[in-house]
Amino acid sequence: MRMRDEQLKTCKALTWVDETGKLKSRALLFLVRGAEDITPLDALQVACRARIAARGYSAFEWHAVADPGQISTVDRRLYNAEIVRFEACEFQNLNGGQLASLLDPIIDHIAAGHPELVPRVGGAVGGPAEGIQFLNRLCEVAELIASIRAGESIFLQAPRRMGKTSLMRRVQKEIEGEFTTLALNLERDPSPAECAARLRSIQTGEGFHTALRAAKPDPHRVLTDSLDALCAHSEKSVVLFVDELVALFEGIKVEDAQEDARRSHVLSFLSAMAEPLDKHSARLVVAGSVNWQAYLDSELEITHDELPGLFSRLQKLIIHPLDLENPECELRRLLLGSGLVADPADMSWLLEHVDLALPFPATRFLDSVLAETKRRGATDRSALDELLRDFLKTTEAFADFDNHLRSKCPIPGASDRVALVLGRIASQPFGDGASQDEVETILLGLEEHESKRLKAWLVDTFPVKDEDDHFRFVSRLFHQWWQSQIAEERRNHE
Amino acid sequence: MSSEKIATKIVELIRQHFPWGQRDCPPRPADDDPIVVEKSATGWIKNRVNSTSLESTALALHARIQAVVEEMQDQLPPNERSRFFYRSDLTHLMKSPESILDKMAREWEAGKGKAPRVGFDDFAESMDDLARFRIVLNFLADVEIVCVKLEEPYKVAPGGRSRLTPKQQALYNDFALRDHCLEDLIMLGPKDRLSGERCRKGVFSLRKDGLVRVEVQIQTMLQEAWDKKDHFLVYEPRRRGEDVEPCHSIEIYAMSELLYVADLTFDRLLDIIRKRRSGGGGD
Repeated sequence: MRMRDEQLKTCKALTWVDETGKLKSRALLFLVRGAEDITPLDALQVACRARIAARGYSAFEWHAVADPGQISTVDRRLYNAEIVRFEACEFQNLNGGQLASLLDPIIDHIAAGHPELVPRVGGAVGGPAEGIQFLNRLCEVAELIASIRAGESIFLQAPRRMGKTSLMRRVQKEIEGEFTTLALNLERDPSPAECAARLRSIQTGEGFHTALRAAKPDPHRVLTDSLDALCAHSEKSVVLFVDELVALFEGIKVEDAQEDARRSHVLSFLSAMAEPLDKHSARLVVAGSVNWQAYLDSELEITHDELPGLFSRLQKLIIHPLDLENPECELRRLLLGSGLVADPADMSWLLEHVDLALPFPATRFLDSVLAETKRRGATDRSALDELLRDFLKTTEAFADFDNHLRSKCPIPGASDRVALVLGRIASQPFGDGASQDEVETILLGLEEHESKRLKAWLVDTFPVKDEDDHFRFVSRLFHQWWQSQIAEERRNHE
Repeated sequence: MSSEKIATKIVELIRQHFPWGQRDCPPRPADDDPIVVEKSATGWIKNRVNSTSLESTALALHARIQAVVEEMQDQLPPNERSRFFYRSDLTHLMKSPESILDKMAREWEAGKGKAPRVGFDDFAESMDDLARFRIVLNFLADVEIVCVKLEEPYKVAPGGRSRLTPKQQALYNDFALRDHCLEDLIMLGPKDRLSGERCRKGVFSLRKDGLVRVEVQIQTMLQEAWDKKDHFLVYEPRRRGEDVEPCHSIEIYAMSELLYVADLTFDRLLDIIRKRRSGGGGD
């Protein structure tokens, strides 16, 4: 693996000039080093031309360029063009379909004047993935939008780092214009007063701290009034997105030591939020890494029947790990965006060890590969092996799964069995998994409903799929991480 | 041959020898309008050329040559680097269908019932300059040293290849050079000179497919300047069917000689100044 050689000069340039002059011109440079680039250069031009023709784009042109520094000599309108460089060899050994998967979105982004063309490693690390960094959850996006249009309210559940917030933001962006959208992040505003202040601040336009002073004496009333006013003044239906609802319950727990007081406080808060939403037929989308209903049930003995209004009617949508139609293509898109050039041997190593089923750990690992490649100039397979070993040993990217296993197992005392199931899957080659019979043997002794619930929890919580009578991991990185955990545990025992 | 005659000859060549309706060629147009006839042929030629890897091959060759030239530039003494510069001209990397037809027609003995020497079926294999580019340098001496560097991998005995730089080796590995040298159209005697064109010219072919060839010209800025003026004042008018006065042709040819003398003078001055500097006298 090496960094893209941006010192190369000879290139074929695909340029795009906005005739209106409103958008910045673009030049996509396919840099050439020698004869090995002839075949990919021909093939990628065929792919680009096909897309341009199919979409009827007219502002694209091809130029042979000797020196990108003098690109305006081929077309003076390119004097301030934004230049994006790829090496032609980054597209080697790809068939027409693979080239189209990689290049079609790039062409479309250029034609639409989008600022970013490809996602990059590290582009979404530490925050929700937005825009180009949002990796392909088109089915979930479509499903969620359809539910909102049908008037439903939704609870999105998945472990942390699975992409809930990114998905919510994408959906929010896509329905803007059709709905009025409001967003609350309760990790940032983990008390009723802060939550009410956030909504009041949106409604009145006053600063957050001013709104907080107004909300503190009676947060629930301010919450209801603000939400009511926002819904009443909106010409369109309102969709309220609430991220990490349990964080607020935890906030209330800190405020109120007594369980009865907490119980009543939580229910009042939920009512204060549900009342205006119900009144104005608004939709609610709640996301969380913890099942908030189960939390309320176990922590405060609040049953589903006690939940007010919309909160009792939330449809659950489980976000599974990314099951990409073309994982190699998504990986290549990330490499393109990051300037990492993988030769065929590197690529086969990557496909053997990494996938984007869990984008967060995968991008974290690739980020470390990027840093090391920049430092060394190149990384060979043994360096990649070493990087992976270090990553699996030290990463906290999977910590939430471990946390779920230890503290959120729905059947008390059964987490060891789930760990055994995961261990069984991890002991098999990736893709083979554990058979239903093997899993049943591990779960022997549990009631049938308990066993069923545990298996459902396993699939909902971990990067595991239940298919063809087998439980399999969907993430190669998770598979290796779990193996390394078992090995570590074994070493500790010894 | 007058310009009008060549235009008529092109249309006649297409009418008689274009393989109408065969393979991927369009059918003969119904109205036989010369413009429609020529457009059909140029469109087909363009598609034919685009279907080859010629342009990508030319870019690959340019990249290899560019690397050798830049490596040379980096090895120059610091005070020489700014005066040694080069420019590549890739704007006319591919020969236009009109130029291809022009060349085919010029070499065709019309009226004798003969097929053209270069035909529609084999022009891609027969023409050396379907893809070509120029490297333009400052001094005549620069042209010489660049040519030496480019020819070196092809002239050195196999045992001496270890002397080559990695960039020269990469050029050699990817491309063969016809006759192992760049033809010299600069030091050409009066009897052998057919036009005012002055350059070093080489035909490189891709090693893995010898049929894909690219012509490379290496010349000075003054030689290029002459060529560009000649192209506008003589070549293009003739192509459009206009007459060019013989006295103008003579004058333009003489300008090539004059600019050659200018190049020689600049080289002589460069040599004197270099020697003075190396002698510590400065200038």
